[in-house]
Amino acid sequence: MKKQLIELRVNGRPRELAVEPSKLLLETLRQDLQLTGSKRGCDDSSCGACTVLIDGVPMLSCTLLAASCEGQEITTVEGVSEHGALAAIQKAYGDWGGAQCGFCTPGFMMTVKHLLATTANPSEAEIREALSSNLCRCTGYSQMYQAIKAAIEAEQKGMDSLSQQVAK
Amino acid sequence: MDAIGGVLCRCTGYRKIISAVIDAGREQILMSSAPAGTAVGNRMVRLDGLAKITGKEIYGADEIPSGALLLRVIRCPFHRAGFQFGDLEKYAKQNAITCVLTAKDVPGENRYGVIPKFADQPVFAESEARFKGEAVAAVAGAQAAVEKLDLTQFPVVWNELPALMTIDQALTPGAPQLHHGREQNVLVRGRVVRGDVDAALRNAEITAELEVETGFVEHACIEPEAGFARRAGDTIEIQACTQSPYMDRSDIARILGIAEASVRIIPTAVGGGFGTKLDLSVQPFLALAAWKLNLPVRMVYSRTESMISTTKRHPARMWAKAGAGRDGKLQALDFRADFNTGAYSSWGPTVSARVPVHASGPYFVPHYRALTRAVHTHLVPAGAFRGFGVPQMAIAQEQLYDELADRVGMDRLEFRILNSLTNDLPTVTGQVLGEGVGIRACFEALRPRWKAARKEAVDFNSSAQHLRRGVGVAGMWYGCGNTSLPNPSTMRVGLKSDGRIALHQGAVDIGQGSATVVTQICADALGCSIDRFDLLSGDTSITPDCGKTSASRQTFVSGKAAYMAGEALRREILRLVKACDCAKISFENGSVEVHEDKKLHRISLADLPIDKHGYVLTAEATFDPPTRALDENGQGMPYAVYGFGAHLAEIEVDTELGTIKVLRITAAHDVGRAINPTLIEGQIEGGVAQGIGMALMEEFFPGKGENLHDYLIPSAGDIPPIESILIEDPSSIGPYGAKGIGEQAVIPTAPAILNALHDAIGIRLRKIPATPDRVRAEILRCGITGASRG
Ligand code: FES
Ligand code: FES
Repeated sequence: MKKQLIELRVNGRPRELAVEPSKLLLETLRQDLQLTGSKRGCDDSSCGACTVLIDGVPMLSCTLLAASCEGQEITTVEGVSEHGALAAIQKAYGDWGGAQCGFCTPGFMMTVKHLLATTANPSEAEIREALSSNLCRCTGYSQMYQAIKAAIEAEQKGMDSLSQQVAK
Repeated sequence: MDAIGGVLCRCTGYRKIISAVIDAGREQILMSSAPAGTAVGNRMVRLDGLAKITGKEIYGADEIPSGALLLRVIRCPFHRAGFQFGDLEKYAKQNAITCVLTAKDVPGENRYGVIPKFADQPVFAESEARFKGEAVAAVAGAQAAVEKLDLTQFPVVWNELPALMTIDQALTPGAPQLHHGREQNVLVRGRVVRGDVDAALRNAEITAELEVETGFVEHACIEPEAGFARRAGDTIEIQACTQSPYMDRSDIARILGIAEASVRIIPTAVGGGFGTKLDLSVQPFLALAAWKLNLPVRMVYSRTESMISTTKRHPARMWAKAGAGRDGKLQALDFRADFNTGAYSSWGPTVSARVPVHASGPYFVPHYRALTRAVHTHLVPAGAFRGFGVPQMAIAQEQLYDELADRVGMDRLEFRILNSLTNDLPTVTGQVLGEGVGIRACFEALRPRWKAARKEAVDFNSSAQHLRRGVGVAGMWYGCGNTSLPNPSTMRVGLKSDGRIALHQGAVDIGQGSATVVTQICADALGCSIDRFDLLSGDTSITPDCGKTSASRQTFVSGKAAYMAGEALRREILRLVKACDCAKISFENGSVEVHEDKKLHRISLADLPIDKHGYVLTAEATFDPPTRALDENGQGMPYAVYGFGAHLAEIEVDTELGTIKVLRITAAHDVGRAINPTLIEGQIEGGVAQGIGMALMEEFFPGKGENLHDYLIPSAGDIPPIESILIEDPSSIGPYGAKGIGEQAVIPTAPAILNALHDAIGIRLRKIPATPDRVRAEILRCGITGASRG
C-alpha cells in the first residue's frame, strides 16, 4: 500500500510522517513515533491499554486510523506530565499502588485524566464507571480509588496554594 | 462456647498475635525515603514506579532492534491432528519470507519443560499436534511481508484425529496414549496419608460429602507475550517478558544444543505473570530464528495466540468426604482430585504434589487421605496459576467444612476457629510448625464483621423479594517455596567507592513489588538508608540466581538472602576497621563512618582497591529454606513456612436472574511481618479480584471464545470494597519474620463466595464458576423462590 504524508499533533508537538492509510494510530504511535507508552493488550477493543486522548476524549487507539486523526490533538501517557513535573494523577498512581505490573497504567492514566478534567469531585460510582472501560489484572482496582482521591486532594491543594500566591 | 474457650486458653501466643494486627486506618503514611534502619514495616513507595507511570517502562514488545525481522507461528487448528508440509521453499520464495522453521531446524533437543525430568513439549510438533494452538512451524522475514501473510494458506495438510477432551475419556482403557510411558495418560500421582481415614470416617458421628468441578482459567495478563532475540557471535541474547530467566536459559541452551553460558536472558518488565510466564512462550522460536539467521528477530503474541497456546489453571474434578464428632472436632478427611493437565506436563507434577499437602486446609485433621492425579488430554497445557491447584482444592474443602459445621449445628466461623491448626499440632504431613501459625488469629479478626454481616443479611432477607443476601467464610494455608525441593536464592550487594550501594537482585518483579521489598530488607540489615541503593535486576549476566518468581517465594526466600547479604556486607565493613558487632555504621558520600563506643573510624572509600565485581566491598549470600523430602505416605517437611489467611464474603443473589453481586470482602492474612503494607494490600486486593473471577465468571473453553471479549475478567464494576486486615505472627526463618502473600491472597475468595451463595439461597453447584445460567438452573431444580426461604 502506498504511504501517505500526514501531520499529527501529538502531546502538543506537530509530527509529520508518512504512513499507510490503513495504519492504526496505536501502531503509528508505537512504531513511527517511538511512543511505546500506549500498549496493545487485545485484538478486539476490550482492554483499554491503548487508550489515548483525542481532543481530550479517551479513545482506543487500536481502533483508529492514524490518518483520520489529522488536525486533532492527541495526548498519550508520555504527554501527561506537565512542564517536566509528574501530573498529580501519575504521582498518585505510583505512590498508592495504582500500578503493579504497570502494563494497564498508561491507559488508565488517560481515562482518569479525562474523568478529573470533566468531573470536579467524582463520586465513588462515577469513578467506578470511568475505570470500567479499562482492564487491570493485577490490582483489583482498589488502590486506584485511593490514588484518584489522593490526586484530587493534591490538585486542590495545588490550586489553593496557587490562589494563595495570587492573593499575596 | 466452652470448647472454644478451652482452645483459647491453650494458645499462649494468642494475645501477642492479636495485638500485632495492623490497624489499617492508623498507618496510612506513605514514605518515599526512609532513614537507616526504618524501611521494613513502612509503606515505602515502590522503587520501580516512576517508569510505569510515565510510560517509559520497557515490556516485551517495546524495544525493536534495528533491522529486526518479524516472526509468526503456524499453529494447529484442531485439538489433535497429524500433518504434512507442502513445498516450504516455494512458499518462502513466493511470499518473500526470509525463512521457514520447523522441527527439522532445531539443532539441539526439540523438547522443553519447566521440570527437566518431565520435559515433553516440543518447540514444533514433529508429526502429530496434540492440542489446538500447538506450534508446527514459524515464518520470519521483513515486517511488511510477514504481517500481511494469511497463515491459513501456509502449505500444510492436516489430518484431524479423534481427541481426548475430558479426564474420563483420557482414563478410559484403550484410549490413545499421549506420551510414551504415561499409562492411561496419567502424568503423575500425588498422595498424602495419615492415620486411618476409613475407620475414622466409619466411626465419625457426623459426616458430609461433596463433589465439585472447576474449569480452565486463563491468566489474562494484560501484556501478551513478546520479545526479541539476537545472536552476538557464539552467544544468543533473548529479551522477553519472563518470570524465570534462569530456567529459560537452561531450556534454550538445550534446544539450541549450546552451553548455558552462551545464553543470555534479559527479562523485560512483565505485564502480569501469575504463573503463566514461568513457561517458555516466544523464546524458543526467537532463539532458533536469530541463531540460524544471525539477524535480530522479534515476535508479539496476539491475544488469541496467547490464549490458545500458553498455560491455564488446571480444571479439577474433586470429591471429598469429611467426618467430625458432635463436639465439632474434625476427625477425618478423604479427598480425591483429578486435574486435567492438558497435552504437556508443564507444572502438572507440582499441582499434583502440592494439593495433597494442602487439602486439609489450615486445620488439624488427625485422619487424612488425599490422592491426586494429573491426567493428559488433547487440550492446552495447564500449568502454574497463582496457587498451583490449591485455589481449586479450597473450593471443595472449604464448602465441605461448611456442610459439616451445619450438620454439627455449629456456627461456621466458630467451627473453623475450633479446628484451626496451632503451633503445636501436626499438619497432615506430620510437621509441627512450632511458631507462626496465625490462622486462628485470622478467623478471630473476622468475627466482628461476621456477626454484623450475618445480622444485616437476615434483616435484609426478611423483607426482600427476589434478592437474597448471604455471608460466607473460608480459610487458607499455603506453603512458601517449592514443595520439598531445594529452591535457593542468591543476592549480591556491593559498596561503591562513591558510598552508594549496588544490589544485584535477580528476583524478577512481576508487579508485586518484590524489588522494593527485597531492597527494604537489605537496607535495614545493612543499616543504610534505602535512598542509597541502586538496583541491578534480573539479567542473567549481571545478577546471581534468585530462582523463579513463583510459589510466593520472593519475599521469603530472596528476601532472606537479601537480609543475609546486607548483614554480611555490614560485617565486612566492621572487619575493615576491626570494630565490634555492635558498632554503628553511617554511610556518607565517598566514605563510611564506624562509631564504636567513643571511637570513630572513618573509611575513605576512594582509598580502597576495587574488587572483581567493581566494588570496594562485596558480599554475597544464599538462602535455601530448610525442607525435608516426603516419604511414600507424604509425611515429611514440605515447606519451612506457611502463610495463613481467611476471607469473608458478603453477596447478593438475584434469584430471578441467577446473578451474584459481591458486596464486600474482608480479608485477614497472617503475613508474618508486613515488610510493606501497601504492597501487601495490593496483593490481597488483586488476589481477591482474581478469586471473584474464578468464582463467578471465568472459564476458558479451548476452541471457543479465545479473546478478552468473550472471556470475561472482572472490571472495576465487579469489585466491591475490600478490607484487608494484616496479622503478624512471625516465622523466625523468614526475613524479619515475613512469609509470602502472592498466592495466599487468591485462595479463600472463591470458596467464601460459594459459601455465601449457599447461605443466601441454600444451593451448592457441581460446576464452578457460578455463572448466572448455572445458578438459575439450580434455583429452578431446587424450586427456590424468593419468598420460600426465611
Ligand atoms: S489494545 Fe485492547 S482495547 Fe485497544
Ligand atoms: S497493573 Fe498489571 S494489569 Fe494493571
